[in-house]
Amino acid sequence: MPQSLKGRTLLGATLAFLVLGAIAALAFRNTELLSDADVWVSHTHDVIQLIESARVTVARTALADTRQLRDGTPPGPAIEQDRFRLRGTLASLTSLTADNPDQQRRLAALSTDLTRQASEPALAVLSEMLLDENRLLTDRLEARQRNAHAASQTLASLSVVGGLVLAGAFFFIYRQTQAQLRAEQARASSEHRTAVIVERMVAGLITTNERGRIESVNPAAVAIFGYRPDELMGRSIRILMSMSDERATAALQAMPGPALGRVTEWEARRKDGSTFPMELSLFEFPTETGRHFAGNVRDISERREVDRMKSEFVSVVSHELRTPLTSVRGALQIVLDEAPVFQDPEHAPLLQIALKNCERLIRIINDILDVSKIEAGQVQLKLEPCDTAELIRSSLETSGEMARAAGVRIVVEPPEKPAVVRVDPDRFSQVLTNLVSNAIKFSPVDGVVTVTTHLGKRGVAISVRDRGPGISDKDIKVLFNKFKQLDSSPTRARGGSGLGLAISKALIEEHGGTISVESMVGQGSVFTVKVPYAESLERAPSGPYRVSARRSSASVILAEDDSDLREVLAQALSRSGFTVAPASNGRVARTLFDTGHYDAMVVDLHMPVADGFGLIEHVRRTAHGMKMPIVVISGSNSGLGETRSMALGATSFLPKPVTTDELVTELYRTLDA
Amino acid sequence: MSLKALLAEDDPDIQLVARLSLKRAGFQVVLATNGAEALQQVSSERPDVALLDWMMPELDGLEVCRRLKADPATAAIPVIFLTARSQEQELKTGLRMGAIGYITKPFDALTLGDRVKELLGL
Repeated sequence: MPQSLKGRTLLGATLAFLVLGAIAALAFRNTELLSDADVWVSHTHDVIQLIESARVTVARTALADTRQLRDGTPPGPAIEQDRFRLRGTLASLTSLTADNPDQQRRLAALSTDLTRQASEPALAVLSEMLLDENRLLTDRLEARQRNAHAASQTLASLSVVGGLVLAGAFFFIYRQTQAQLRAEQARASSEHRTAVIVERMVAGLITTNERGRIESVNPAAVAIFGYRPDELMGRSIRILMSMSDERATAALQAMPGPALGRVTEWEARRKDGSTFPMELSLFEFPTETGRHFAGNVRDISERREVDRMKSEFVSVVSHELRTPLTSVRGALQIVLDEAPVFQDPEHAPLLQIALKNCERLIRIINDILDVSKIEAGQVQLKLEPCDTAELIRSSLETSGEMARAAGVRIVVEPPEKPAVVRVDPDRFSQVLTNLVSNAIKFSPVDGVVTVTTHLGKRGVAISVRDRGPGISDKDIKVLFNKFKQLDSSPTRARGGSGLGLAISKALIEEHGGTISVESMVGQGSVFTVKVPYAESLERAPSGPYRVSARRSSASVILAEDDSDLREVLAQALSRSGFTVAPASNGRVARTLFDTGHYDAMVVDLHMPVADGFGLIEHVRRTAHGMKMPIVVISGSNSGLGETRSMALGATSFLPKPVTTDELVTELYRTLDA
Repeated sequence: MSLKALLAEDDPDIQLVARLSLKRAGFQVVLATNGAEALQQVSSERPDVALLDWMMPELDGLEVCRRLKADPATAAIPVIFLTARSQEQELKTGLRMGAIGYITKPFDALTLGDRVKELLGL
């Protein structure tokens, strides 16, 4: 049974037409037969009529003959005519009944009789003939009756079947139309529903074409940005971003790449020019006209504010907690170390308990602060390429003593060949130290903790194995949760905060890596940390913060000897979000650079004490300053200043008089490059 | 030769502990309990290093540092911040202001002096 509508219609139509055709053919044949029968009947009627007229004529001639015989009266001319006509009649009859041998015989006899003028036998023959013909007529009438019946039957069935087919066709069309209407309705109502959803959505929804031209905005988006819908249609999406044109172009070209399929944060701009932090969930959808992009946008100013308040609260609280702990810890430390009077066996342990728990309190506070920072996304990793073996070695420096005290040996198996990973060395150390100290805590005395490194295809896997009691499946599930300590007493006694693994997990995930555990009760555990190689970074680790990271205040050394100009430039840079460290000459600038951490430098070439050239040279020679953006401003007329400073490695050159806008834009440009 | 350290700390308990700690490490300690006093003490005592608490009344540590660095007479004196604050931004600001480093509270009282010497490059 063909599945398509077309197939089924074709099959049905073909069958219907075949059946109708058959019946029609039958009906046609029957009507033909009927008219044949009619012809025969009328034929027989004609024959009978002729025979009757012949009988009349013969009777008349017989009468004339009898009279002639009786009276001797000769028959009139009419009689001769009759006799003549009779001959014609006989001829007609002969031809008419050509197919009837009996009649032909009788006609022959009749002809003889008439020639002999034997009227009586002639009449008898005629009577016989009439009888025969009447019988034939009866038969033929019956046949005709039957044919008529058959014909009408087939015609009736033709109309019935025809009617059925027609009815069927109508029904079919009706059903199809109904189904189509229903589908149309369903589609329309689903479209309507989608449209209503988009209208009522709380988040803004903006769609653009491949080149970033706005194609649709929902009411929420309109409300967020303050434009009228018609003001946004067809415009480039960049009018909603708070960036200089250059950066917007660059961002658009890079887009949608890093932002696609992710939640990212941007600084957006309303119609009235005010800016606000915006959260964007970007996705693409294809249509017949090509690639399109759509994004959910949310104004997250409030959330940012709340986050800021939360982290400030934690910061203030931790500060408040740390201050008294400083004195307690310090006092206990000094007393226990110094005053011999407190070395006595009764009091010393009490003081030691106090100190130990003080240390523990401090650790807990530090961990809570760490977790809070990580959750607020305030931990900015300083990723740099690090040698794996070196990383492991330095991380384990601090664990050595703990291991010795616990009677546990640490064995490190270095990687087969040197491998460079991209990590924040301090934070990564924090994680490794956490894992190793856990392993030490859970190892039996004389146990061994093994640290192995496996070089995978995309990154490095560092495993820390212990032969301790192991962890049950149930516990593994909650292992990386906050404040989860396994119920065994060893950990509690060793003073953990319960946050170590949660922090480690969060930190490693910020690196774009993974942390996992394999363990069997009674057989120890293996914790594995995976981080990507330095060259291949599949996933930008601090995704949402990437884009807005540049906006956090960059710090700039401003080396300019003209105090008025220095003041003006410093203010302008400050207003644009930079943190400015002013320097009145090259030497101050150099000291600042050597003793601090800066993101960029603005240098006037001609300064007293030490000039800009020397400064640039010095900066470029250091590891930190090799790539730092250095913008030179100078009033010297000859082009030599520019040539020489660029040769020394300056990033760019702005001739004086330089406007504050120019300087700010140039700084932005060099920092983003 | 003992080094002279200025300790500017407003919490009296912490001041005591820190002073003892520095003494143990061989430092000669000059005290100040607020920012203004700290500036005065630096001028009159000429310490080899200034340990400034971050939060102090009158003038806070950051401001004291800025002024010390702005005055050529005192600009060369190394400044170390003592701070319980953990905001990275703030610590960076301190370094940018010209401090040679910072020590977080609670500090290890047994090694405070060594830590200072370390930062001084000794």
